[in-house]
Amino acid sequence: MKKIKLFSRYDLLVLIVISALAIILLIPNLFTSDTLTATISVDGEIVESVDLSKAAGFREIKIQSDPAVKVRIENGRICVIEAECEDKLCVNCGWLETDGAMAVCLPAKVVVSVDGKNADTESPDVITY
Amino acid sequence: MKTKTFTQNLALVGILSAQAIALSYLESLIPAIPGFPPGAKPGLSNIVTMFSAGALGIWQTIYITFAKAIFAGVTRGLTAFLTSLAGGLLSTVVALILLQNKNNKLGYVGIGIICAVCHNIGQLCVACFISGTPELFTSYGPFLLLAAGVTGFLTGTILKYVMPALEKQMKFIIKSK
Repeated sequence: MKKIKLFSRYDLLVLIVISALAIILLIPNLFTSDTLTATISVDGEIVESVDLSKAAGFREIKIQSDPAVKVRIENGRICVIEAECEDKLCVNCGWLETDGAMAVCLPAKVVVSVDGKNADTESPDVITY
Repeated sequence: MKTKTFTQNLALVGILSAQAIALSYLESLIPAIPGFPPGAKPGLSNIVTMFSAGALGIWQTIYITFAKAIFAGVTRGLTAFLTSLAGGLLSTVVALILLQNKNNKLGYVGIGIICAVCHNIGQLCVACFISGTPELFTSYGPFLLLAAGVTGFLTGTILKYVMPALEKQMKFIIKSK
């Protein structure tokens, strides 16, 4: 096998490109809007849509899925608090409170996502006649 | 003599598969790293597949990738099998292209990072497909990309330093004249 260096200057280029790409992709996530809507879907079908900005107090929803998943909504944020799957990745995602935040439980095919829906994004981009 | 080299190759691939599986089990024992996206792992078994891609050949490496995916499937279910297979195959193909290329100018760190990124892209594609949410790419992707930068750096560096040991192991089994 050919000798390969530990770190060549092309590696630095790779590092820079990857970091830059990650930062560029992160930018849209930084803008949070006033109205946040949490959408819970099972197997691609939306089962529950909650306006987080209007949610007062707290409530818990048990999602009918296999394995079962439980979410908690309070003060403009949502969190998966219980999942009967093994990896608990969705629970580890913690509180979702920004536009584009997501928690996914792959075994249960449950997706909890938060979208900031402004008036602008609801209207069509272009209308032609 | 052909059957003899086949047996030697088979033995080596078996040992490397076992090492890859042991490493992926080992890293499942590591608790979630704070600041890392949930589910992100160091990808230590990539060390073995990268070595195989460089020192052995296409089929040996793909065999190890499949062994890893089947182990993930047996211990963690069908979704784990699919994500492991997609990520593994993508990173294996890229590792093969990079390491078998004579004009490769990248170092171990760069190759490690590219493989880790490809692994994550493959897994993310399957995750998007299973959950039916392409938005995962923008919400989860950037964090995985950053994590891949760190873990790729790590695995590439480790590969550099365990290379002599892995080559010794290979020469012990495949005795070339």
